[in-house]
Amino acid sequence: MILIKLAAKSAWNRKVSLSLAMVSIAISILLLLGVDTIRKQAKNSFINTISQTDLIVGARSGSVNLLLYSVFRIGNATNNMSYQSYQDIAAMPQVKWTIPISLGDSHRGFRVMGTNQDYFRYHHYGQQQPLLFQQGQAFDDVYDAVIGYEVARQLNYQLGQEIIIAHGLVSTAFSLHDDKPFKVVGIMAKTGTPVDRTIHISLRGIEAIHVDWQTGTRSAIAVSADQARTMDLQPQTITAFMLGLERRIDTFRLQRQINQYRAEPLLAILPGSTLAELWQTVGQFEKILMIISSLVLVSGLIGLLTTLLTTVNERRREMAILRTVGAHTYHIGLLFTLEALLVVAGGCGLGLILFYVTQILMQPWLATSYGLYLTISFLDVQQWLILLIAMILGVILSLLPAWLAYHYSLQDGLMVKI
Amino acid sequence: MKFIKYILLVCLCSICFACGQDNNALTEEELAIEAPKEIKWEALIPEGYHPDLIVAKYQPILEKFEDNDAEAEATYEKMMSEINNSPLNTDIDQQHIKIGGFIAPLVFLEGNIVEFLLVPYFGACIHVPPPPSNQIILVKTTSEHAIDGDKAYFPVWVSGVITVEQQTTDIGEAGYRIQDAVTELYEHTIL
Amino acid sequence: MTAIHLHNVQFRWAAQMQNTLYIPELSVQRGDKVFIQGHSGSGKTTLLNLIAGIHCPQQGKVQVLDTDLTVLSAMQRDRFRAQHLGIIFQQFNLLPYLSLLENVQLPCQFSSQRKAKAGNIMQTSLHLLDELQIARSMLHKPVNTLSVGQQQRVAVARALIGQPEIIIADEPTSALDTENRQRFLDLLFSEIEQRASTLIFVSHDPSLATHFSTHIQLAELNAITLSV
Repeated sequence: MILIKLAAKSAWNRKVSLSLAMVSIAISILLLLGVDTIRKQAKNSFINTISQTDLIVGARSGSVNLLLYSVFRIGNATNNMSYQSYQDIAAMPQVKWTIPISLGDSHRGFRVMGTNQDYFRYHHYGQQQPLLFQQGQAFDDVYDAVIGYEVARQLNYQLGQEIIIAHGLVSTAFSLHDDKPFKVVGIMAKTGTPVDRTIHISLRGIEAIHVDWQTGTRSAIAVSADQARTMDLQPQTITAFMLGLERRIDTFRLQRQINQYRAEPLLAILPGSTLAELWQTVGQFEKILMIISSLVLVSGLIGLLTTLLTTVNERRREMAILRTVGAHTYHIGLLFTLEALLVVAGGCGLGLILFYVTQILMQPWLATSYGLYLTISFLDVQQWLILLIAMILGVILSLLPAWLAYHYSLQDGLMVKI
Repeated sequence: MKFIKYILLVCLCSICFACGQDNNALTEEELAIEAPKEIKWEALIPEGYHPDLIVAKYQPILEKFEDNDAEAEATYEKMMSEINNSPLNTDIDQQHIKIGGFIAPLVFLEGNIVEFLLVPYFGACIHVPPPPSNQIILVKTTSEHAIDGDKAYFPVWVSGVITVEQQTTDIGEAGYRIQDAVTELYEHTIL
Repeated sequence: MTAIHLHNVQFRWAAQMQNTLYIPELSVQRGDKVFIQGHSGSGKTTLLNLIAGIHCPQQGKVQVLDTDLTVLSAMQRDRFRAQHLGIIFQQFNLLPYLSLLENVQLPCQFSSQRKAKAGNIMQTSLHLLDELQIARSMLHKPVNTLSVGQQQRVAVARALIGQPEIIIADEPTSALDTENRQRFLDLLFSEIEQRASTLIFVSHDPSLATHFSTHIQLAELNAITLSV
């Protein structure tokens, strides 16, 4: 259609000023789609991390905090809980299975988690999926380690690899447990959860490496690896444990019992409820981000509107020319609307490109730093709706200069009095 | 002019479509099927069972102890166990019921809650004991009636056939259960 | 045969109470070359707007090529204009964002009949530009690099493509220097004669009147000025 061609050529003629409006619209589209995607993907990623676990128990802190450090390896526990309490609770008749975990050490940026063989039996993720081995098997010896998929991939580890564990979360030369090297005996299959980024050792292994660190730093009296092996490596404390119940209707009762546990202050959470609580908080934050992004879109559109409005007067001669060759008065108005639509559509297109490029660039960083596994996919219905609304808003805003142009051309006719 | 009218029509349709993206309201056909009987949480407690009687039984014993006495603790635990192992009301077994409550999510599917525990009140009010086992229902929803994860804190109406399981078996756990539940967010219902 | 016939035409702007234009009678035959002399403000623009069907008089009949424009709707008048009229302004005739050829071909985009009459549009437009002495090397240059004289000649080509029956020229030479003015007029007349079109030429400059068969003073034509 001639009008679209005219609108396109006219817009191209003023590409410098219009492209600025287009870029600002593109940025706002990137923000809107980005916030929406991160929210949905983070939610799914988090939800898929743990499954079939009825309660998580740790030293008393906040419920979200406990969930974050025990399941997602984000943040830290403020305190450990006693192994005795763990054993007492595990022995209760309502409890079907438990998995104790111990956190605090690391290896080259990856978290080290002490646990026992029940972990490989009872830990589930996603849709009730169990943990599987890609190579090797669970640990047996004190100094055996099982590593997650990402650890193996990024550090290029094979079975038999010797690893040194660092005390704390950062590896420095003076904080290594280098007298007690561990050996990789198992590599796990990919789960798309923080398990991939974790190095698993036995609870006895944790005790062994800390046997001469009782003062908080390495003791002058060294205990060799072999010596440690012969010692009683029964753990005194653990960080937290997961449990499964015989009957789920006992959930609340047992939770209350643990929360009121006399021997030490403990906290028991329902992972599902705490996750929902986390999303409540995140949800508020995300709403604010969406509002801000929408305002950026509006300001981009207003920039476009300003550009169009300021040119209405200048273009009255052009409009007279078009009238002489037979354009209707509403055609004149429509030209402005079409130009606006082209710019907004261009902004959406550019925004989409930026969106996908950003996702590709951020994917590895999000996985390693936050355990958020971004799947890059096509836009969903809601996101297409965002684009559609942007274009509709553009059209609505363009109606003002369009009407003005229409009005002038009615008046001016063949002669523009400038 | 025609072109502008067309664009406005498209806008209007899109807005209507976006508003219509709400799966949780009951459809016409669901309402047409024999309507569920709306019950209150008291209906889950069998006739003649009075937990307050158990409390009354233990009250004089507990009053004799000092606070923080280990034996008082043990007695209290014993009382709570008795209350908790409260019997289930077999009269309502296999009835098609509708009951309102709050959820503790158990299983998520694509961001929606497909399995949860339904309880009479919201939040872990710590001034009174948690709901006993005859005031908890294990609910599995149909896939169309999974609850949006963002709405986990809203009260819901749950409709379906309630089964009463006295013992844990290979097939299922003890307690009240509703399979293939139809859910409706409370806010859509006129109180 | 009558090309244009105005009868008892009265026009005023919507906001005003008094007529700005009152033409009891104006008749132009086919093939005529009419020179209308008037200074700005005398209502010449209004007259042209009426003939071109941009505006409608409150009273009277405006007949162009046997069609009474006053009974047509605005959109029908637009289409009529696209099909039967070619218009040239004093300056700024060309759209800066279209190429030379696209500017010339513009009327064909708004009227299918005119497009049909033009035949092979590319050939016709090239031929016209040749006749109007626009060098082929200029064809791909942006419109605003052309001199005023060249722009005016391109405007003529646009007005002529598809052989509209009536050509209206509103002060087309006022922005040109003497040498280019003559060249312009020669070319214009040559093209008009070839196609036997009717020409309405409006200007304030009486010296140009010598080229035309009919000479009308707008001040005499417009009964408003007479009565003042």
